[in-house]
Amino acid sequence: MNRETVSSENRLLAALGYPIGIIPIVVLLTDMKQDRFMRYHAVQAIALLIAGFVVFVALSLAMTIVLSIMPFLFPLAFLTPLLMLGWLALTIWCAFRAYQGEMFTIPVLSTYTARYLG
Amino acid sequence: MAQQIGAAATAGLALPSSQTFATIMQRFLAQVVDALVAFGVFYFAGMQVARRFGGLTDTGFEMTGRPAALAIAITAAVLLAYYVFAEALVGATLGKVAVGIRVVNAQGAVRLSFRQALVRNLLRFVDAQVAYLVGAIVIMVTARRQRLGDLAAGSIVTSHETPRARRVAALIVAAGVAVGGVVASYWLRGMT
Repeated sequence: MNRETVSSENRLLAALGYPIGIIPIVVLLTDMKQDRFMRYHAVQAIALLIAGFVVFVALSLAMTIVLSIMPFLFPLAFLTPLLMLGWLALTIWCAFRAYQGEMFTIPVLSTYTARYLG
Repeated sequence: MAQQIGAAATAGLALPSSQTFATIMQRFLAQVVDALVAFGVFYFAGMQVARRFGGLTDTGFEMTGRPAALAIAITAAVLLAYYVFAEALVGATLGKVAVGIRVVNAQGAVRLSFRQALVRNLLRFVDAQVAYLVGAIVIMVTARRQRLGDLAAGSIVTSHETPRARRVAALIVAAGVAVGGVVASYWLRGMT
């Protein structure tokens, strides 16, 4: 698939689904899921959101344990905003690729979403 | 796990029976009140930067790029100083006084040192990610209800019996900073 074969509305919705989590949920709950391109990006966007949340919580717990035992390592905590920025950059990159009409894969994550998509 | 994490860091230390650890809701409400102070400071700083570097509009100011970054940096520096001095000198910001909580040293329920207050508030930048989600998660899993800043600084936030008059006064002062920031910025604007 590419820009010519996918409508601009679908490309825009698929792209916005990465930063705005409610959009892919709506896609999967409506007839829009019949469209292969929309379903693919909706599932991938939700997977990215869940993965981001899991990493976020895990990082918070890891920092809690580290600072509970070794408070002097507090500068390490400033790495978490950097990782958050990395996740934000990944989201924007995915949105951009989706808007190009591409059905790209995300390393590791796509192996799980492929199972769901069949 | 929460108990274990907290216990590892705070073994043997307990609060006087009259005090309890501040709840997430109390801390959230304190943040809301302190947000009034932040608003006043930001509005004043933003207007002054816009006056100097351009960006004034009919209804206020609008900036992008370096002037916007400068306004944010000035606001962040002023707020950092506000939090550090308030917590080191009196153990509470206006928001905390209004809600009836205070920050104390985890080792003996006395005021924080400036270094502790600085570390605690520098880490606010980390705790505040995604609307304080990091701070909330950490508070929920630690036995003494500490966020990352508290763990690093060795501080705890406790309830504190505060007279109603003092709470109301703190709230009025916070609101006054918000209104004052806006009024002063327009007053100075009118002088140009």
